[in-house]
Amino acid sequence: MSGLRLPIGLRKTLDIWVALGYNSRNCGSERKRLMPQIFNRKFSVLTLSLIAFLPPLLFAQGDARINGYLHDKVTGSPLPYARIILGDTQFSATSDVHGYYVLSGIPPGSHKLIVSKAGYERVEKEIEIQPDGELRLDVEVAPEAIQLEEVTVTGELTRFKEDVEISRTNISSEDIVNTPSFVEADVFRTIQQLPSVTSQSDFSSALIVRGGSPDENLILVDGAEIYNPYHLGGLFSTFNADTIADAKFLAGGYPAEYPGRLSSILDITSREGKQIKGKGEISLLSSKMMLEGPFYKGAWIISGRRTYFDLIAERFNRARGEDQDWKYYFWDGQIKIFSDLNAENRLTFSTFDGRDVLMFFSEEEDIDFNWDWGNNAPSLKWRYVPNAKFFSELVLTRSNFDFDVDFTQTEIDSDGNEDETVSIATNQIQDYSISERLTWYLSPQHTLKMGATVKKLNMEFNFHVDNVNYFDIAQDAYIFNAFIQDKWKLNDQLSLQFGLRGSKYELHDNIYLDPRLGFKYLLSDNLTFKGSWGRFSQFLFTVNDEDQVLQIVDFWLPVPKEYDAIQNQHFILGFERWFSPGFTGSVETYYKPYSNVLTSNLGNDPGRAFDEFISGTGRVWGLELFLKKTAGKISGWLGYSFSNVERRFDFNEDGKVEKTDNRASEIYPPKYSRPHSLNLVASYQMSQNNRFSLSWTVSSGQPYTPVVGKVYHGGDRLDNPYWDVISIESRKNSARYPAYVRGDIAWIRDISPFGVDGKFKLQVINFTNHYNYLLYIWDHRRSPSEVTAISMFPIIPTFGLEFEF
Amino acid sequence: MHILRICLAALLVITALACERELEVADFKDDFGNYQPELKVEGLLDHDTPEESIIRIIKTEPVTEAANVFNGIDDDGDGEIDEYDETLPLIQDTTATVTVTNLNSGEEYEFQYVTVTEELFNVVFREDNTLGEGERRAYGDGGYKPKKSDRFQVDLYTQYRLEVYSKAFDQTITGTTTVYPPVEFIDIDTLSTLDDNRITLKRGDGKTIYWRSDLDVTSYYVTVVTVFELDNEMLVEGLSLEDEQILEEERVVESADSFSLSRDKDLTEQHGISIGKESFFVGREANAGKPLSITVDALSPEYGRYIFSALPLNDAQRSNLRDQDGKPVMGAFGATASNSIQVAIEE
Repeated sequence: MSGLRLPIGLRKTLDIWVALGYNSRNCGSERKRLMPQIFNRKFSVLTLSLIAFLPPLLFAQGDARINGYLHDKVTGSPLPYARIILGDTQFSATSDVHGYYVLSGIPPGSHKLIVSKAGYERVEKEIEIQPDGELRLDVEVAPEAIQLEEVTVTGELTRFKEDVEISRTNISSEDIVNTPSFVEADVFRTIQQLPSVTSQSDFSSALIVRGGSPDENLILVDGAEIYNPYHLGGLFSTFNADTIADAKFLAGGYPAEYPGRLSSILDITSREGKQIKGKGEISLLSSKMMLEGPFYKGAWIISGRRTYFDLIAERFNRARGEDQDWKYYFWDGQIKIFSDLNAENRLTFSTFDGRDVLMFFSEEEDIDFNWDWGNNAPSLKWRYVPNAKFFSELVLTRSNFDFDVDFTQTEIDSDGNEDETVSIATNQIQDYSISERLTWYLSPQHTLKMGATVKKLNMEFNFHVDNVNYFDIAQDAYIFNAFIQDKWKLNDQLSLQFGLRGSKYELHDNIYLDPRLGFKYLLSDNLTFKGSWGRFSQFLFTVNDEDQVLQIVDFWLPVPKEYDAIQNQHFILGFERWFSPGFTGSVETYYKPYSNVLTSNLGNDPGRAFDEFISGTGRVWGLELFLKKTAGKISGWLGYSFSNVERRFDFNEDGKVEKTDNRASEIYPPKYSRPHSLNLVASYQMSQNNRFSLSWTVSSGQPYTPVVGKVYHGGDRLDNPYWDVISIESRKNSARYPAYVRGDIAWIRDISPFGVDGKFKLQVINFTNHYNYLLYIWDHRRSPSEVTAISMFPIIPTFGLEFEF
Repeated sequence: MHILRICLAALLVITALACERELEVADFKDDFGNYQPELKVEGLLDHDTPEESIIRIIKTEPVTEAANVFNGIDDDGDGEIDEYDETLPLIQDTTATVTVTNLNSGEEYEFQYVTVTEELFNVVFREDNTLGEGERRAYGDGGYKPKKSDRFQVDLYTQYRLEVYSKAFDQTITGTTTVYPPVEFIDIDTLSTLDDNRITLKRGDGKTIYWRSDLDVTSYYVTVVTVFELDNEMLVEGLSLEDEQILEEERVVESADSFSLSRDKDLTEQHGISIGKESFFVGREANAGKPLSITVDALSPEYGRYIFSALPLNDAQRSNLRDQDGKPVMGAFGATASNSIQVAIEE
């Protein structure tokens, strides 16, 4: 490569790569040991070749450019998805989630630059630009007085015409707040109302996206990956809705820039406000507070939430003269600080923390039980925008998930001697990542993105009783990946987005290459045809019992070296229709074949190594209809989805995957499959101070395995073969609970007691009190057997008070 | 606060009222269809005491079963409802012809149905954690045991074949197993066999016992028998009272704690031989001079797979039993051989 004369941009790119440490000469001792494995010669040649030769082929010379940021003039927060037009030309752009925009290839001379976004005043600026010149223009846009009938319009025609990404939905904080929810507004509960998404049950906010299990979703908060973003066994997500500026949700077909997960991406960007402001909320469950204000050339934001059910119960018991022998609470918090050091550089630090604590103690039983689990994910981001051609982000993150169970039992003999038995179980995942993402605005036709990530995973699981270790597992793995992608606007009708992602997983010898391809064809001004294909690889999974009804925590593991990476492909086609400003619709169909899906090996011999998991296949196909209205007095969406999910495992390892009529069947729908799902989310602005919201879900019941008979069984106890009476079951998940129906309503009233602006929220969950089945429990020690159903949420009224200052 | 309490109470009431609902079994008719009872066979050959080898054959029941297995009535007037005495006789298949064949020698042994008296001992704990009066209860079990006149032998590294013909079900069930030798207790540092199966520990000591077995054996059944005195009727810590308790004499209790165990994967991989281990502690107040006995049964792979597997009971890989049509039958046929080690406690 030394004989080549490289363009300045390319040399800069390579400089950045070298600076990041991808040259093994710069590595520390640990890296020296690992880099030859991770970044082997074949992979490095391939990666660098892609970066080296693609740009010159695509580069268009001699253009003038304008770039900059758009901000809300009042709050100082970035203004995403605004339209920027060069008035007398056809040139236009849309600001991204950071409020950043680039107009390139524009003719030199005088122009009028127009910035518009619904809910904001139109801004017009006269500009003068030289041939091959660059103009940096940051614009502050003032919000306009919102009319009664007007609601924020989040979908803009420019985005409709130019975005190639399929299956994408942006959820704003307004969407989250306006969707009725259980006690508190929750981004996961809002996303569960989208047609691509279903839930496991009312008790879980985990996302089931197009038939994929929850561990196939990548949850990012300001670039940091969160592993277990739930409280209270999944009842609530750990994200405070007030701190969310934008939540980009991709239900499939996502481009190469996103790392390895098989089903979806939820990319949460937390808000950035520069004015001094506070917001709080009191509900039946918890209280939360958010404060924000200016910082040196930037801003800060801090938020926190804690439940107080334990405190109420403690006072209640104390009033009755009883001791409180249990405690459960959770808290979460977020801090974000950024500073624009100069026009080119911004540093952002953010940290996300959340923790659940469960305690139980009994003096009578001499038991002391403590269990806590939680996340901690600090990140540091350096954004560098040297000119209108490049946009670079370097992100350092450390995401930690841990749980810790301590159980102490004390026995006291007649002489008063104490003897303690202490059992401790701990699990920890630590994810250290460094990633660089470079956007190269090559020309009006080409936007090139490339990047690389080095991730180090540490997983530990330990269980010991007193001084005896029963489990002491530690597994470390490096994952290195790099990507390159180009968004190519061929003409006004057709845009392509293609890319390649390569991954090297330390425990495997091979390199995983995942190509991604997407297109968008504008059939008319208001109708587009979209498609996407891609291959996806995943190197982490959760070890959960797939028949388990409620899951308290996830136990994450790297894919063992004995198994291939979990992979699938997405084939997606769809139409999008722009009916009117703020009113869009889409139809999408998809097919996802899976390979190397890992689940617990039912035939596992605990005395043999490496048979804890079993690898299988699966496939999902489906159809989705989606209508979304974001303007007018009534806003919301209506979605319908049909999906067919199938899993195939050779559980008994006899070389055949068979569908039988009994429990031994190896082809089945997973527990969370719901073929039909209809969702309506509507919000009605009744008057200036009153809003009414409704969400209505009707879906197929979840599958269950029918019980056909019963038999005495000793399990693993040889001393009593009649230890229990157990069920004899039919084919796995071959029956379904009755249809799931749930309607939630909310009344939100603006109030201003004592001059403080606020909101009063009254919500009724499952207001029709529909009996939604969670599970059946059989009692076989009766003739005939007796069966009891357990439901999900009954009708539950909740209320909350929100205030701003 | 008062309002919060009211809301909280209302929520709890609503939740409590709405969450459970009794359903009619008939509502599940589409699920269980025309399920017919089938047989479940558990056969275990005992190398150490061949005459205790037993083949248990029981029937499954449909969920709609109204044949009074669990009728909620004290049928035998002993004050207990639907206990083993009342239910087990109703599920036994006593119509079978059972033979076990030594496939090496060709010798065939006939097993016949006998009623076995099993004992369960209910331990009663008082509120102050002291041990109250125990109750010994006997119940009638049933199974097929070798005819005494046949002098049945269970030989090591020998394959045996079970054949069951049930007249009631007109079904022939067969299965084979191999008998593996008992475990050897070892010193984990040298991997050498212990000179005698006896170790001495002090109060408050912890100890891990290691053993090795044939490489094909991956599962064990461990029984820890502890003899101790009741000191002022207090439960002496460090000694578990989890399972059956047999009151040998007024102030001496024998506690038998038993459980299944798999071999240690790491040690097995490290040394290339099957190694099992079990850790235990001697309480600081344990009675000196009273030995513990630890017995380890080496289970044949067929039976180990059966008791540890989470596959369905009628899965072809979990059960090694087949009917005349080659279909898997619930249960397993296996063998066991045991060895014991004594632990003495000194001051």
